[in-house]
Amino acid sequence: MSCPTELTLSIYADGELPEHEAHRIVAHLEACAACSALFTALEQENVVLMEVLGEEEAVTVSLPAAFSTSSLSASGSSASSWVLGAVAAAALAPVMLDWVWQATPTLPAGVGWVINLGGLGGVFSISRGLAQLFVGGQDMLVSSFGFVATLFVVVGTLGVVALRRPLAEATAGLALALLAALAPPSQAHAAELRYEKEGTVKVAEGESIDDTVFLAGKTAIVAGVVDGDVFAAAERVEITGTVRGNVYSAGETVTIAGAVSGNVHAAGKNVEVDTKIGGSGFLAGQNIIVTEGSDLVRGGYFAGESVRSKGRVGRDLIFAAETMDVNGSVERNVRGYGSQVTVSTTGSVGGDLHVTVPSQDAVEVDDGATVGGVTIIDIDKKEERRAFLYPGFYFGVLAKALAMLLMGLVLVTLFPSLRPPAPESSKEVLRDMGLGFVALIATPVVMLIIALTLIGIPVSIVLGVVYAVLLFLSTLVVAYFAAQRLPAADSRRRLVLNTGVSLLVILFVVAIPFVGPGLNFLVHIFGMGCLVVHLRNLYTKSHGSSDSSMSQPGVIATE
Amino acid sequence: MDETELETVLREAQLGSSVAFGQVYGEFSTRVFGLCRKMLGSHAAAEDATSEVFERAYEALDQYDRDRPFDRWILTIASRHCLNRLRRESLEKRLFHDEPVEVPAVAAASSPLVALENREQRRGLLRAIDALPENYRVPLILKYYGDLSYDEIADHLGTTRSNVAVLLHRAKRELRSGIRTLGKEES
Repeated sequence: MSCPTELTLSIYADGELPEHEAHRIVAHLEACAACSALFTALEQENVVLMEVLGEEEAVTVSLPAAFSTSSLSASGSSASSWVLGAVAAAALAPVMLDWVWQATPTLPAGVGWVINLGGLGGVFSISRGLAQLFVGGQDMLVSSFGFVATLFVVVGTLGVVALRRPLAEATAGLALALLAALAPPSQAHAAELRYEKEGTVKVAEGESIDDTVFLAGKTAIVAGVVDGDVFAAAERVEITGTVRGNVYSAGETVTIAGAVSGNVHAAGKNVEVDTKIGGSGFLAGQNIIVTEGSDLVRGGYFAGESVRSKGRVGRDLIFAAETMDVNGSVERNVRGYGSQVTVSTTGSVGGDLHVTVPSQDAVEVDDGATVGGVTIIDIDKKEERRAFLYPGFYFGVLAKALAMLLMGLVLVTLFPSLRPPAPESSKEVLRDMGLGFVALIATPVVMLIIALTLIGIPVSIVLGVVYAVLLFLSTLVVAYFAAQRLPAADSRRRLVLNTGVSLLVILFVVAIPFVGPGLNFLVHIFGMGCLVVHLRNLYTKSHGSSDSSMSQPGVIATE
Repeated sequence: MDETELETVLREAQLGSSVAFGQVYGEFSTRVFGLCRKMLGSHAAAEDATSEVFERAYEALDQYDRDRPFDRWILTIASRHCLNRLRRESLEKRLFHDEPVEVPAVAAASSPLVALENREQRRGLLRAIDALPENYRVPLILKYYGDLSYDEIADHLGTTRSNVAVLLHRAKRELRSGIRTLGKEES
């Protein structure tokens, strides 16, 4: 048979040719290379058209008034965006602070201790704390998790409000926050709320409550007996009575002098513990003091500018502090980060003393002090500011650039579709950076949360690896975009060369003191955002195409 | 939303639940908007059209036959609506008649469309589609975006199946040459 017309082939490619004719075409295509090539091109054209037309545009259409009811705001999509917003906002705050403080050479007085929570040491101590939580028993884990969840939701809600999300969503967030606050287990079934804006809220002496108690006011005092947990937020929080559950408190001054059977979570400018605590003490503040005669039966976790531990700690003591004094006894190990650490004559450590400090003489172990295990002092060297003077630096940058380029080449060769498209407008750049910021910060938080469930640890590890790879590649992505802007970027070889050059420039720039870290951060969030967006697009595309394969033209024709 | 979920929501919507219809809206508005945008060529017109389409769909919901895919149903409403609009707007233009248009023939075998790699080029293609004359653009969009069959398109446009085939064929030829010139301008 003679070759069919292009029109016939086009109809066939659309899957619209009647069956008997289609049979003839199939036979012909097998025999005729020219027609077969033409047909393939036509088919590919259809795919391109479908893809290009299918790329969705932002919809800003609102629902017609006839059925736009407020109840729509309860739909799934807005709820999930809320959750995302909350998690992102919650994750954002501490890291932002940390980043700001890291980047500021001089710190305002009184917040110097925060720096100890950041950086690698901080991550280490947090993960160490988590490990302790696993070991420390389920109760502790659950209650701490409840606490963390509460914090997250509260901070998240504030974040959402700050981002001026609609009121309804913020309200829902607050409701959730309350729910989450109730989530920590306690013997009590209901909660008692006491609130006094200007005055004193009190569980009076002789009063006994077998509920969880929430106290908020200028001054909050627990002098009586509480069988459940105590949540207290006030300028001054005083606990002199008996608490059989946990204590969660925040205020300018927090004093725990009564007996607490559970854990104590306290944050404030001044935190004082002068009692026996059945669980662990998680204390954070400018000045933290655990008095002589106090006893933290489980562990002590302290973060503060000036921390004095004069009492007894039943298990490990973990701290991050500007100045740390260990005057009391610690039954097991001490692990900490600080600029000045002293173990005084009255102090004793049952296990190892392991501290990370800026210099050797920042650690003082007085003559009378005893350390049962070994004493390890890690010197935390400040970043070398004059790296540019040493040739090793240049080799390092060169090696890093080569490694990145090589990895990128291998990846692109193996999976060509991984190459992300460059953003086209400043709006897209901003969007990518925002997303990257969220991804950069939320992923470790999500990993921690998943890891908390124990079963989730493998998932968390996988997530960590993906995260690390994305982070590594983000610089490369930015270099690649820059390379596209350079002249003659259309030949493959030039593009690779350009990418290498841009990569070198970026790596040098981010090593510049003071400016570098900030730029590095921007490069990472931008690159990461682009990658995340691109991966998501790839996913939806593969997802979408497998879906729509059912409605390909060929199928329509047979309907 | 998976199929069973969609079914439930549709049933509820048919029973008159405006919340359920809101969910239907959330699910399909993007595609309807996309179709309107591509057929009408302007964002604002597409916005109006989308809400009108959903209003119409809301009124006609009890006529919807649940054995048919819902997206097909609503996209049909949308394309009819857009066509009516286009017709209203250009009464004197006789839209879909057989007119022989001379297009420089670019062979499909080396189609430049296939080689569109980056986003910029794809944008260029979208622009070229927007620039197509209406009688080419509409069937092209109904076919490759709305996923309608030749028969359905023919029915919509009040023409024959074979004419639809010809229109599509020519539309693609036009696109090819459009992209060619675009490529030449750039280089």
